[in-house]
Amino acid sequence: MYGFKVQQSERFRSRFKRYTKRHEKEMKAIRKNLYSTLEMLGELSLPIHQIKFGPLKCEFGNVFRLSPQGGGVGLKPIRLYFSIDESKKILYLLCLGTKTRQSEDIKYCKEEVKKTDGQK
Amino acid sequence: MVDYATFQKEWDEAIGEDGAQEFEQWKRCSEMLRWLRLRRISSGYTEKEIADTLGWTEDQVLAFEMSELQDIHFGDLLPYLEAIGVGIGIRLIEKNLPIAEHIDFHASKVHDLFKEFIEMIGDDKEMTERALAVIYAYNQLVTNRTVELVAMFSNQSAVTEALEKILPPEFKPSQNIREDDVGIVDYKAPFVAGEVVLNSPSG
Repeated sequence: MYGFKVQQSERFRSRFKRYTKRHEKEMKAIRKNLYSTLEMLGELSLPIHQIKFGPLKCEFGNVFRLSPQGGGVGLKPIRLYFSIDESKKILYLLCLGTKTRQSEDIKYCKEEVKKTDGQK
Repeated sequence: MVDYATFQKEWDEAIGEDGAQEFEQWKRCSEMLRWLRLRRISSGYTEKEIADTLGWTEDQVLAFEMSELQDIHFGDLLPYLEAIGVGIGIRLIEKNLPIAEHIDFHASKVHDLFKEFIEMIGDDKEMTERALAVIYAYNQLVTNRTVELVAMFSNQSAVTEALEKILPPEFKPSQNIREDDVGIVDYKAPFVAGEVVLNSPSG
């Protein structure tokens, strides 16, 4: 899709299957929101910071989070943390998490981003 | 690192065949609404601005834009289009004209887009059977910035009569319609944002 490559962190991988089973509705909505986000990036030629899309929020720096917003009522606030290298078209899937683990997950994302930046 | 398609396959495997098919259906059936959202964003409208204009909540705008076409109501689509500055054209096409091949792909999923419309002509059972075969919403936003709604029918006068009842008064047919006419009629609305060119009736 629009030439994007995907890199998944260890934590993302370890939680992904579990979350798709335990939080089925939320993950369906997040999948649609991720698809929509990439579609907007591909079609609108706008930097991601300028895309005003409800479920998409900037967490810090170049790390964003997607919520299941728009997927129906009563969904748990599951979050998908990711960063994106728009010039190289690389999507880094950093973490999946719940609101209760938010601070720990954000800390993990910061470490992952440092690692990724170190590889560049 | 994998390409996005490979990642999507992994996701499909994780959720099983039904989930994968559901996602594919969503992609196919939400295409026009996703294009409308792109149009809204590129025009600089936020979800909040559209929500305020329409008297909806932001969540309702989001949910609308994430919907599949068969789940939305005509009564919501018209004001939404107007709010984001997109025109609408309605084209009536005689059943079994070649364009049928064009729209078969979507037909089963969107046949009840115009629920109000179907209800309106549904009072007469015979007319319903003869009249409305399928309705299809056709996205031409990239080129024409107009949403075109296509209705296939075999009894034009019944369909046009129903359309005239439910469409805002600014919608006018592109030609005079006679009692037993069959063929193609475009309904045009003049309120469009200045850049709309509808296809010619012969299209």
